[in-house]
Amino acid sequence: MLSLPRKQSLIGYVLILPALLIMSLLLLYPFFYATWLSFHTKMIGAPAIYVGIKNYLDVLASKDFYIGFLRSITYTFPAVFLKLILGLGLALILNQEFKGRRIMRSLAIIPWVLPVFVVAFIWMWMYDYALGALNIILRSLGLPVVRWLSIDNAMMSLIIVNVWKGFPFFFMGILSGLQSVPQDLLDAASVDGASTIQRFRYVTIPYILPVIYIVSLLSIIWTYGDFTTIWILTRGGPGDASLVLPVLIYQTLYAEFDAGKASALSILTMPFSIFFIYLIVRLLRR
Amino acid sequence: MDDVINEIGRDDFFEPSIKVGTLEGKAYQLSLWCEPYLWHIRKDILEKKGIQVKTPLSWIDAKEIAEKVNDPANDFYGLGITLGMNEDTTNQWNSLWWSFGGQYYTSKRASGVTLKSSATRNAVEYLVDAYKRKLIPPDAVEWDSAGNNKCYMGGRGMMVMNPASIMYSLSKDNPDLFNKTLLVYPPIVFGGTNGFVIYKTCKYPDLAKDLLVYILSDKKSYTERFIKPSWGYCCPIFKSVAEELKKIPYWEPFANAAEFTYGSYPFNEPCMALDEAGPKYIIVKMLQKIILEGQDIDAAIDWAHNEYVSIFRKYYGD
Repeated sequence: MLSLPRKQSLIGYVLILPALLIMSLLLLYPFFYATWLSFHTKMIGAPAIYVGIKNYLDVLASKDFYIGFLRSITYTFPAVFLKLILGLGLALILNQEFKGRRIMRSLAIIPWVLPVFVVAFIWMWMYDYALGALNIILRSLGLPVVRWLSIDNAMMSLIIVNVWKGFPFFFMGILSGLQSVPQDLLDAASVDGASTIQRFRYVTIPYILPVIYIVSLLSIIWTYGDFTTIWILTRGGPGDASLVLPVLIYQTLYAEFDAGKASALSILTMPFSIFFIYLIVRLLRR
Repeated sequence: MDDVINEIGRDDFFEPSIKVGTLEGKAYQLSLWCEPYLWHIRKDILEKKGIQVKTPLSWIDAKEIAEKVNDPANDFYGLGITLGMNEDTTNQWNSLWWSFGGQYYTSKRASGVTLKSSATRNAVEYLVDAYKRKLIPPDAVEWDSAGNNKCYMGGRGMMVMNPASIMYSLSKDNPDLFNKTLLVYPPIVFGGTNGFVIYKTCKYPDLAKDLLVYILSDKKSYTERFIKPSWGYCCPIFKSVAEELKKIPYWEPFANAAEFTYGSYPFNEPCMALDEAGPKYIIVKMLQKIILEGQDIDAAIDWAHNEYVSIFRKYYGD
């Protein structure tokens, strides 16, 4: 006969079993299927043929993979850094007491709530060389117009879009962190003669640091996997100026119709994300 | 679909519209319409400059016209040709290249790929020269597939090549420019063909075939209820319908072009390798390697040729 704690524990497992099964189906099945596919040549509409590690060797021998990885990194880190700076700055401002603060907070999250394809199309028009708002403003100011999506500027312009869309996430996260900073601690620091910067550095930052870590790591993972914005605005071009890994995977699947190679490519992009997921899990445990 | 085509009347179909769905002598597709890419030209500027346009308008003649009206200092360009990472770049390239004698392959195997040719070099030189001399807008290398539409509709381009979507938009939003636009077809017209297939797994293929015969046998209904409301975006695949439409001034260039509209010239047959190569933007990348990266023309053509060879090898062997 089972003891009461073991019985309770067993009931607990039984109760979470349906959720576990659903989670497994939703998360693990696609992952294992992609892994299985990566060892096959699988043209769309044709049966899979086992090819061992050939797809991986093909991907690793391809220059595009390394270009894609480099472009992904070039896109991800500056974008996340800028989102952090903007989000932090805005959170500090909108954490102050002033009239209209609630309206400002609501307005600040608009880019975040807009669907990503809407954001991409808005910016596509803004960036248009002849008819776009940005160049119209520059022209009206007598300044030279910019080819926002040229080979030299495409990556910067994509980062701007990503930052515009993503900084409210940092803002919301950091603002919630700021609201958890005890006022009496800040007051005590003031009494002890700490300047505004010192209070921020030694009281506020330690409180909001875990939030900053989490939102930054999540943002790295999401930005690294961003596809829609880039596909709509540049399709990886001009040349290979914005050929990030998600675009390369998409092209492999829908241009080459090769699900096996696309899967191998996807699996090979994962260690980067897994590293940051690992960091998040470690942080959450602390 | 051969029985369906025969029942509707094989003789009335334009030949490319049957070939586009035919493999090894068997028709697997019943075409519904074709979508020709035509020159859209500013008639008012032609008149002002006293320039005559021949029909069909060759790419060489188009460039000559472009040179006469080009004014990049005022952001006005002779050729609104896209060179960006989009489908229209390849589509416009096809029209140019085929008219220069180019073709993707002579036979469906890797050794049959014919991208490396003097026609390709001539077509590349044509575009590179036009771009360098600013006959084409500098930002054309960044356009999406609507870039040339915006160029023309925004008053930046003397001529562009496009299906009828521009005319449809102009008819609604800019009737003045609509009336100032002359439509002319090039010697070989690029254009996709869209149609019906019946899946092997279809439970009632005979019923499906009856339905298709019913839909396409009534040419009057096909013309009035399907073709005409498209403003030229959907052009007829029937000779008889095209003949009727030639009597209407707006439709005349579309109806004339329908006969010469190819998805892939000269064979216009299904080709898996070309289906894969198109979305990979190999032609676009070849052009951008030269224009943006300063790569040697022959090296870029070699690269593109080898890309096509490897794709053809995958599907059809050596």
